[in-house]
Amino acid sequence: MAPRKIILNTAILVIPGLCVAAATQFDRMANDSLWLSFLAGFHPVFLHLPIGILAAIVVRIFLPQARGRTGWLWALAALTSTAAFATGLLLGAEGGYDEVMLNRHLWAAATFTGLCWIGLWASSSERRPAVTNSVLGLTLGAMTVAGHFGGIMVHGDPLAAAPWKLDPQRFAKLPPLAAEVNVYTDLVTPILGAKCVSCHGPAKQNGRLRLDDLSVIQRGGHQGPVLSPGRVAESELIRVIELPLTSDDHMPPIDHHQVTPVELAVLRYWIEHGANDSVQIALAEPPATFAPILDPDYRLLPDPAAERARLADEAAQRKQNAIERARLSEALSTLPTDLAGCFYFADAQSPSLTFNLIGRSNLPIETSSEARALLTECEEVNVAGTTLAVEVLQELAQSPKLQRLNLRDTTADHTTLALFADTPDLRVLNLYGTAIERLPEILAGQYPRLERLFVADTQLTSVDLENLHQMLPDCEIIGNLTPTLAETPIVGE
Amino acid sequence: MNLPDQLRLDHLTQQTRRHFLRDCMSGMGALWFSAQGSSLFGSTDRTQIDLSHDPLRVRPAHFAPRAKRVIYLHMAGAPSQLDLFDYKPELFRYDGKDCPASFLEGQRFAFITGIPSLLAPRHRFEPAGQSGQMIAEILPHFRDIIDEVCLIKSMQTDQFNHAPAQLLLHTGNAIQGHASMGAWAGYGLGTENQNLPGFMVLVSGGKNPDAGNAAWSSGYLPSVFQGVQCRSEGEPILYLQNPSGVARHERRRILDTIDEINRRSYEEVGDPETLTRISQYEMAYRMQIHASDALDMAKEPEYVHAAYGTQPGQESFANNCLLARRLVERGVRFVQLYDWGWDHHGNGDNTIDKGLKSKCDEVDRPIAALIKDLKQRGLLDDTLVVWGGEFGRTPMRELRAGIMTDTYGRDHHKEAFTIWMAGAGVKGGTSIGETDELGFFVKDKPIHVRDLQSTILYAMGLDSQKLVYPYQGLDQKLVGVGATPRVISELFV
Repeated sequence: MAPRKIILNTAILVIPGLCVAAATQFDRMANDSLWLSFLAGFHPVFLHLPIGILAAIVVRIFLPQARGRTGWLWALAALTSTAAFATGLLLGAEGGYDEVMLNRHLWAAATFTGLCWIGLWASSSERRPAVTNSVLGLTLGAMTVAGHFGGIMVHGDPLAAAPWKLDPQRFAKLPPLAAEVNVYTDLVTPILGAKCVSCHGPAKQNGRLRLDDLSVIQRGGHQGPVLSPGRVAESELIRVIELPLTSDDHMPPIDHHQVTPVELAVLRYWIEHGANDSVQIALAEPPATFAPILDPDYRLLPDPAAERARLADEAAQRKQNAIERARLSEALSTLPTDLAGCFYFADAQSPSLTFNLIGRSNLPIETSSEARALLTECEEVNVAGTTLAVEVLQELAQSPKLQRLNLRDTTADHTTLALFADTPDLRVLNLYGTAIERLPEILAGQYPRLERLFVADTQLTSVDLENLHQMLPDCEIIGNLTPTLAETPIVGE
Repeated sequence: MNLPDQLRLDHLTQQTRRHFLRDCMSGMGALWFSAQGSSLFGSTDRTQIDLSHDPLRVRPAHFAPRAKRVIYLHMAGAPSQLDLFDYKPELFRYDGKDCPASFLEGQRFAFITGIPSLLAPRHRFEPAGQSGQMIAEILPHFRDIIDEVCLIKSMQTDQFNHAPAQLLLHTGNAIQGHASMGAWAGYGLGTENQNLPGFMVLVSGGKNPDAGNAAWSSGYLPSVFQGVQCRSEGEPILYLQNPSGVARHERRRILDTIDEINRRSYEEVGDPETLTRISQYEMAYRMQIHASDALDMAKEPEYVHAAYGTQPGQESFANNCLLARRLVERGVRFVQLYDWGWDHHGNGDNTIDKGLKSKCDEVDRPIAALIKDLKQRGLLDDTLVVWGGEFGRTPMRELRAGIMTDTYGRDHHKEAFTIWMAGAGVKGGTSIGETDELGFFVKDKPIHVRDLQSTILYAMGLDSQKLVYPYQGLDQKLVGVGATPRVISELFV
């Protein structure tokens, strides 16, 4: 036997032997040596080296163009895997890892390191290819197993974050509830699952916070705990949800599905009562603040199809509004300035028009046909203190859009009241201080949508008011709120 | 050198580092960014309001408003919430006992030093209205309107002295020079009645609030938006009449000439204050007729005077309430009342027992009459009424210089106070927020004065984050730059 072979074989036997001997001692050493803990940090460096080297061996064996000797590669693989094993032992001894996984990783890695040395022996003693190839196969297998356990131990299971497992829609509805509802498992888990876990869960841990399991919720995140059991106001979880939407710290972020007041009430109740998994409520007698969530039809997240349809509807409505608004703006621009100044849009986008004559009495609204046309496009008409000609009122009474009409302190009388009896969408009619002295006989059954009617300071008597109440049972009639303010006018001045 | 050249030179000498940095953003990149604008970074739509045509013309709100007008009843000096609205029966148990040290930690008071003793409510409380909320019996008329009102018992502020606290409440900053709420409303929305200012101020109680007219200043906004104070005795607005011997048509000719000169000056220079001046001349001309009419209480029937308890010819809060109703009826956007004399420290007659009661006697009837009157006229539907002081009062008795007397008072308290709101869709007969058992700290739903400002703007259809005015290189806001106040949305139906 050549001297080179003797040295090699000795090395193959001695180095692993030394390693095993060191390993038996090393729990004791690892704990109190700065040098060892420094070396432990190199585990991630060493562990990747044998992977490349084994890949090179595979190439050298199976790729005809690269065929050649593999002994020196096996030697490198044996040395680096040993280094990886040694540093791994040191790292594992520092603690902080899941015991079961660490053990599996350790034994797989030990097997792998051993196989690397056997591979070196096999290739250097020039065994048949069948032997070296099967050693190579076993080594690759051991490497896969060791890498799998190590990876899962350190980085978590990537499959846990698989999209098909994490669709928030699985929390769209609450599970069927028993008579005794466990607030954490039956309510809080689905709420957090639907609203929070996509960013604070297995897939992402924004702010190093996970909200998918009680133990991790209790641990808190990067900025500390998020729950203060029993003290709702001090709980970060509640604080960030209650922050205004405009705040940078508000959760969930503004473009995500928000926690509804009912869901917030559940979270508050849960924290108030200890924030653990033994908080119970009876399904029959839920706290009033969050009774709606216990409805079997309650949805934590909207149905995706319905949501898409709603968004499409909204977009269509916006477009419709924009067209309508453009049409009205166009019509307004043809009016003289002071007349145009009486028409207002309700807000920056809406096509809802208001006509208001405040401070602009004596405008020739009757004589402008364009203005009269626009008047019937208004949802609100306020001519308090001034007056409109009867023919304008007649046109207005037919307007399908008119919702609120204010005739306070005008010359309106019972004929005016009769005029608006079948205005399709009229909801609020203000006749305060008008000359109304009796009720029109046609009232009954009319005013399909009327919600509020103001008739104080008119000539109506309290008997009339009583009749009005009977004729319009669904309408709030504001006529005699206070003796001091209303008594005198209602019985007639 | 002519004037425009001079101004351009002045402009150049006033360029600062900020201007330089801002202008560095030029070039293709900036062009692209500005073209992409809101679509790149999410829509901010902080639209610069164009004031150049007519600063007072009505501008559409950001979203549909609930309140078209606001009446703010400010009880200057800060009424005691603990003797009016925030009933704390526990205080009877601790009456005369030392305040627990845990409450006093880190607290500063305007006058209290050492360890003060607690003071029980000095007036009897009884349930009021359908909602059965506990209200002090020294507000007998308030009981009639309690079901129109939402009490907010968890108000907080930063300031414990009158002037800074009033400024913080009304201008968003404890330091003078910022624009008040009414001015912001006028800037955001313009005003419906071009014959009256959009923001009017009525003062009673013998003197101006401590913050003085800075509390209704327009700050950095164009001064056309500042509050116009009406005198409560004699002529409501001074210098409104033409000089003797000058007829109305002569006045018109003078104004036409002045306007012509001013307009030319604006075209050359572009100073917005020139526009302010033009519109103020014009408004003063129109006000000669319309303001006199609006402020002429004699036109009200006797029963209205009786309901409010007015004192014609004298300065009184009741007169101001009636005037406030006449003003909102005429479309004034923001009516601010100040009633001085609510600072009941316990010195002299200035006590909780006597002073507070006599102030309540003064305001209770007119406030109730105002709410009922607005309701009957249909104005309460879109008028927001706010009542409150600039801070609250301590649950502890104030001893001036440690000397025990037989009069009872309370010191300034910024940690908790009560205000109420009514109208414009505010949920009547409810309350929001809660203090601890001694009424010292807020226990539930703290509402800072910035939240209140944001809510008032919200009621008027304005987003406090979008309503900005560029000044000193910063987009100024009522609620302060960088603050993210909460809108108290649960306040509204």
